[in-house]
Amino acid sequence: MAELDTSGKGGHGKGKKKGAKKTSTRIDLTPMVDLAFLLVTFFMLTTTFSKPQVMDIVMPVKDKEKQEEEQINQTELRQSEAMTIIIGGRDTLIYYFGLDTAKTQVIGEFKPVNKAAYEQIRKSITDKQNELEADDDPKTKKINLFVVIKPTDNSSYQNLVDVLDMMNFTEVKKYAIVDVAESDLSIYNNRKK
Amino acid sequence: MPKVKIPRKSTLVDMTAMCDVSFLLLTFFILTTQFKPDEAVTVQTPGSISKSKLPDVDVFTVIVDSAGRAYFGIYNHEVLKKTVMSAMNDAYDMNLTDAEINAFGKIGSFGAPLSQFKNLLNAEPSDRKKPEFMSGIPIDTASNELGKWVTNSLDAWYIMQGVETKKVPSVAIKGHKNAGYPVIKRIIAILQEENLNKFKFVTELKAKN
Repeated sequence: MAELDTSGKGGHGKGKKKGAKKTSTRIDLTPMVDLAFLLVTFFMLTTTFSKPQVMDIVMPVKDKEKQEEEQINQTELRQSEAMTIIIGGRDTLIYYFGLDTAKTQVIGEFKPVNKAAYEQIRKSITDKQNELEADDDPKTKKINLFVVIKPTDNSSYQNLVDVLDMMNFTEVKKYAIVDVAESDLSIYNNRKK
Repeated sequence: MPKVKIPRKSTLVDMTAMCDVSFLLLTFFILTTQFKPDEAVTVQTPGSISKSKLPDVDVFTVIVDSAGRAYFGIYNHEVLKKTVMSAMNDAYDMNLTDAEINAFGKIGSFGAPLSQFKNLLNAEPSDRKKPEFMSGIPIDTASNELGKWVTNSLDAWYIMQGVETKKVPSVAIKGHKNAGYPVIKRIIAILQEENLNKFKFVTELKAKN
């Protein structure tokens, strides 16, 4: 492959004047290209282009001294603005608004592939938001939906993130992850199957 | 019949242009590269439509794999890691040598209990993913080693930032999507004991539909 000295005979040609031997300035660049591509491949494989994407979660500050006090005067939530989502095992979740546990909705296959389940819960949330927004009563106006998310011990991380993602998607401003109480568990266990 | 003579052409191609391109690419990659952090495990994170990005600095990472084992990691900060390791060494009598503490500076995330740590630091980098070093950091209430790591990391971090700092490090929780919620809950509880109340759940990009 060497290409050096292609005009090497220059010095001995017939009828040519004797002069300095002309050597070509062309160099074979193939090994250099090889090397460059090797390095490119290395950098391409080790690089991370995008930073990981994150979902910000803020939990309420736990003040150990105030904890007992807080249990007595926990923040009360208006029934009209509350929505409870209980996440159970095997991608099942139930939700109800206010204290209206009779109208509990059950969603089976709450998985990213199941678009219908997503659509159903999204519609419930946006309907409720619209209902709250349309409220003209000056006393209860400006109430925003507050979603209480209660993952049970059987629930998976995926379900939790999906529900939180739903909050971002439907632009629910206020939501909280709360431990399940006995009463919630009994609601969950008595769900329609 | 006379043979048709095909004129012989040189097969040599001028490599200059190709060389230019390849070095251009090389320069691009060298300048933009950020090495993938050395993670103890690769986990499949759930998807979300969230748009915020994980910051490069002042991040502690807790990884949870599908079996619910916890791993802890500090990336891109060798000095901090060494400080943390020597603090842990002093606090829990691990009898580490300076060389072992330096070796810790090279490890990204880890999932070995403290009892295995000396062995982990002495192991060859290729042996660091052996099962005995990957059993996860204990998070149960009896031996809350993750809590110890977080406490010492936070202390070291605050010392490095100076007393006046108003910054708070963020904690990225990188959970496998099949991880159970109780583990995540436990980890959040451990972090909240250290007054860390803001978390970042690492997720994958999902199309908004």
